[in-house]
Amino acid sequence: MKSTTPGRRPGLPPVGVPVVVEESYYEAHAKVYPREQRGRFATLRRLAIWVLLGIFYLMPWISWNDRQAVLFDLPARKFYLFGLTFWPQDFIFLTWLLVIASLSLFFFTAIAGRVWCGYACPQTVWTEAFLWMERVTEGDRARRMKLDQAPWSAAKLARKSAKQVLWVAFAAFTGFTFVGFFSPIRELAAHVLQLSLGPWETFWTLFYGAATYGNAGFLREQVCKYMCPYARFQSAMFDKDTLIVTYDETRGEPRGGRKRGVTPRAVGLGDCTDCTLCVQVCPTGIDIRKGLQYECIACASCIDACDSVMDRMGYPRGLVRYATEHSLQHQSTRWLRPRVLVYGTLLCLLTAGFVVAVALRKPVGLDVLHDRNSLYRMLDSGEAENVYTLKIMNKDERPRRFVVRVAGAGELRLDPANAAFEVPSGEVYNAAVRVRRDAWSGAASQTIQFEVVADDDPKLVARSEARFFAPAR
Amino acid sequence: MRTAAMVLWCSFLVASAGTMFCFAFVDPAPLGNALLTFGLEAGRMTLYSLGFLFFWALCAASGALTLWMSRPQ
Repeated sequence: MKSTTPGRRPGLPPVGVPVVVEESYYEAHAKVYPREQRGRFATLRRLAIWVLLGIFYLMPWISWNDRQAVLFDLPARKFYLFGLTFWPQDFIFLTWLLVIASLSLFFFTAIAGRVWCGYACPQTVWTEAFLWMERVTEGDRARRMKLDQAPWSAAKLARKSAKQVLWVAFAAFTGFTFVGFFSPIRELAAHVLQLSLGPWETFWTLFYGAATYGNAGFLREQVCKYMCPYARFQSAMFDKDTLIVTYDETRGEPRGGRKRGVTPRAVGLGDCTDCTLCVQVCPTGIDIRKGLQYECIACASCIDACDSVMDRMGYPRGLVRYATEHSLQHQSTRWLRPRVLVYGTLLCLLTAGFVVAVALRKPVGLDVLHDRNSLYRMLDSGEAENVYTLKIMNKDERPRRFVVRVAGAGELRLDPANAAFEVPSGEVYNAAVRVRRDAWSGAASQTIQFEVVADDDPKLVARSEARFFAPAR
Repeated sequence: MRTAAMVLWCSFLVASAGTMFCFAFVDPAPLGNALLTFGLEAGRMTLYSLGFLFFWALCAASGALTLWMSRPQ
């Protein structure tokens, strides 16, 4: 549903130009047509996009030790991260990593505001990619606006379909790559080419592809405004010493048009020429000159836009700039504040702890299960025998041979006597062993300790306790 | 539409976290074996996916009910 009404939102776009109001899933809103802007921060963002999308799309294709370097193998319940293999028992590391990630978000938000939103958030990154495809097919901002208002024609249909083809193809490839992090991507690609993709792989490829298409092509700034939880609470990390994208009101006002070469103060004006470029480039469609607004994702496009105008007018740059509230009030900015110190210290401690914990992580694990069917079995020799299943986990990069030992009160005998098991890299080996003891020489139930040791490295050892049962006297 | 989108989105977020947490501790493979006796074949991938959809539906139901109960009289 589209209807055309005169522009009501001040500054967007110049009053008198009709605005397309789109009935969206969330609320009626004026469609935002961000203008392309070059400049320092745009270059920085483009760099971030290339690096991040490059990592995302290339990572699943990188191999490490004959397997995919980064693979979250859900069916096998193992996560491969280059040389490391994580098991469900290592869930603490994942939680730990998430805590580190959120703390760094707090830390960087407290110092520099919403840098995450402006440069690194997947929403920003994919929206920019989709916008680029839109520019390639439909042209720049003015052309896009004109095209949307023009009646349907062959040319309009061609441009719109070209855009959709690019979008859908890119979104589908994104969905495929996403699934490639969970299911070996080379096999996945072969299945796609043979049209033999499994039902769930198909479902998740389409699901993630549709999510990419919807979020980056369709919802865009509305994700940031209405859907993002971080956008709602990020202001809690802000204070007067946080860097924000801001308009220097004292320098800019009163705004107004003027000829080049005119000294602003001589004609009673500030430095703002009211060119509205800062509004046109804004991906969320706000006017930064109204002050800090929760919609602002700190992408700094308005800084680039304003700087280009300041350069042309021969005024100093920075009418719109990254600044803190204190610096705008001509007070000094305090970088080291209690919240920054607390976030920073916690972040350092947790990161150091994580690195140490991963480095010291034992690449061997042991679980012992007592036979479920019988507590013990009496042998002719007068011994009681218990049967156990040892689950020996080799999280190491290479296969290992583990020797089993058992210890506990009384004389415990292991069968087979010198049990040793070859466990391939990244596998769990189920080994059946029997333990015997003179039936009447000890308690009816006692705790015993199992131990597995790598035969070529005595430091590589895992222990686990189990119960041993014998008949009661 | 607006409320439906809100409920679905919030429940999606919570269900994602819930699924991750749940399956980190619970291996659904035995459930797959149990289903096999009924002639249903369900690998871990299927069970994870169904688990996620189940969590999503559950969270969406809770969210929708909360909204419905708190609507102005």
